[in-house]
Amino acid sequence: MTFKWTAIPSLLVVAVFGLGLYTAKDWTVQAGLFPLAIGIPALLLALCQLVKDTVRGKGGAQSGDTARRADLPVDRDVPFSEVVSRAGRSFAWIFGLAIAIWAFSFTIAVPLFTFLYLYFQAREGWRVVAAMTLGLGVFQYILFDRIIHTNWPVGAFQQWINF
Amino acid sequence: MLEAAATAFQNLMDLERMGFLIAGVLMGLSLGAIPGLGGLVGLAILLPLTFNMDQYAAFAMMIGLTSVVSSSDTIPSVLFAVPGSVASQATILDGHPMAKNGEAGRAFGAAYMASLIGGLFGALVLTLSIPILRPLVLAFGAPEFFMLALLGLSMVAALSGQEPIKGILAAAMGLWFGVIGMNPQSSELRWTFDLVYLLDGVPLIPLGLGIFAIPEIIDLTIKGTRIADVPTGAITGVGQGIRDVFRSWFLVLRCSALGVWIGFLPGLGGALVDWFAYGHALQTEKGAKETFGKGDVRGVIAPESANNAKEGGALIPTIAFGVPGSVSMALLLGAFMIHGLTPGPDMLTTNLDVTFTLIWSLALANIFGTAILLLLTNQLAKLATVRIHILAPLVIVVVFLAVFQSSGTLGDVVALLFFTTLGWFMKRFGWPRPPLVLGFVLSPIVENNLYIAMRRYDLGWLLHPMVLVIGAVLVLSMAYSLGFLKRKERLGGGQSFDDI
Repeated sequence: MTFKWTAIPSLLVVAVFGLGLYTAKDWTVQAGLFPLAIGIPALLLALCQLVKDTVRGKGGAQSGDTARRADLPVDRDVPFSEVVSRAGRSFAWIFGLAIAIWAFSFTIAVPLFTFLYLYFQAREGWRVVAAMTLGLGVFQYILFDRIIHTNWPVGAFQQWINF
Repeated sequence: MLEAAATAFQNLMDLERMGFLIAGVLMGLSLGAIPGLGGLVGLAILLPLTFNMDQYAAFAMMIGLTSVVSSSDTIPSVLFAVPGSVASQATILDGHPMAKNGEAGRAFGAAYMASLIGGLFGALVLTLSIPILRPLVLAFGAPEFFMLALLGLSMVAALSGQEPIKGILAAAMGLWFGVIGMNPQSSELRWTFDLVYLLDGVPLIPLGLGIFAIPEIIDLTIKGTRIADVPTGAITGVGQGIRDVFRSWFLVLRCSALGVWIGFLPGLGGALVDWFAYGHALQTEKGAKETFGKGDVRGVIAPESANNAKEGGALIPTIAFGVPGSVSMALLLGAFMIHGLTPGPDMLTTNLDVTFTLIWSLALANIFGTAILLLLTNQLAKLATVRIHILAPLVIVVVFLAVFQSSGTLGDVVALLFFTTLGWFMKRFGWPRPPLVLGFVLSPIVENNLYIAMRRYDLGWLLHPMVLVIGAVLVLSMAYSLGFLKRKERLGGGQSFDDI
């Protein structure tokens, strides 16, 4: 029996429930009854799933087969290497936006992200990039600044330069 | 009751609230027309934006959005054979052949009118159920509500398809996410990791948006290109489709009733309602076995009347018992709590006007939605042809703005990143996400009612008559859900998506 990479999620779930139960062992009955009542059978089930995923051959259920579960469909036409590459880029943009929000706050990060994404990732022309960036900026200003009166956080960069 | 209905109608007639209702309808119609972005994603984005609104405006907007997605999702189903949302899969079987036969307009006319009647039927049943449910709900205590919450969790059986262990584990993870923070009974901190952000628990907004919204955008960008090809020609013949609906009025009523019933039952809902109605029409309509699948308008009317009617049915257990009839209702349940409303007896007594606001919103949204669709079908069809790389930054930015708006802390942004990563990997590795959200929403209800039941009755509550009745319903519901899923697979309903 060899370990299959598709069993990694099950292994992580086992680890999560195992660690969770270990940290909950000292809780009082009031605090611990419900999490333990859920966690103990869940850990056992996770171990079953791990064994199932480990021994299941290639002909078994594919891990994203939507016919077997209730979730939105996963497009399997794109080659795996492309999926990894494109997903990596998408996550990089999303995490990049989060970092930009932390560094410059929303007021700068949102138009900056929109502009850079449309220009470098979507490779749109100048007109589309400018119109979309401006449109989203106006949307943010009208809805969040004028109507909802959101208090944006001060960015780390603005704090650093004492702006 | 009539007084509350009149008050709610008067409240909703306020110009600003009506504007929010129409805005919700427009958002819902747009989301329905874009495959991959359904009502669940829209509701998750909208929820934090409603924080500063009054209850009537907030719920009018949210109901406006969710109740019309099933109307506009017909557009990509008919034109491109791509389901706009989960509830329009069966519409493709006859809707797309009709489009190929040059009868797209007739299919749209039939679908819109059937959706309108179905939606109004659902609102009517919801209204009529209030006087029946009120004495029942008032007689319930903690043990009964605990059992009802378990009934809600039994949805996991239906939402997990042929991977029940993964579904149960996802629900267990959701239940665990729900206990993070300070325990209200003993004031102990549970899994807060010394983070102030987690003292009040994990907020619903970053969890819902992270698990569903951004992973869908990532997957659409992985797929790249347009969602669908550009449709050709203007759409005509809508009037004929509307007349078809009135000719098949009995089918519309039967399928609407089916839709309400399926919406009411936890675990069935959007993923199955259209197949159920389509199967019913196939079995009962004269000559259907020969003509269905080749462009028979009744194959469009049946699922479309049922999928709009289900919203009214799903609202019944959500409002009366705090048990969501679907995953989008689970988010609505979260919205109730955020706006200081407790589902259950209060919604049928002191907050009856809010309940009637939901009913009026449901009815009006269906009327507005149909009117807008009749006017703008050609324009909405173009939404499905927008390049995803243009759509992606818009959705991502709105999600980030919405998630920050929900609590005003950057901790929510970090939580969003965590749940986005979790949601995407769950989807890719075949772990169903709806049970996680369901478990999370029901976690405090289950724990609090279990605690109260144990404190008050020890184990004696297990023998309460209503507890035994709900327990029996729970077992039957799970067996029925699993049995129906198996039958559906045999029928050819292959994929089952999120309950949107």
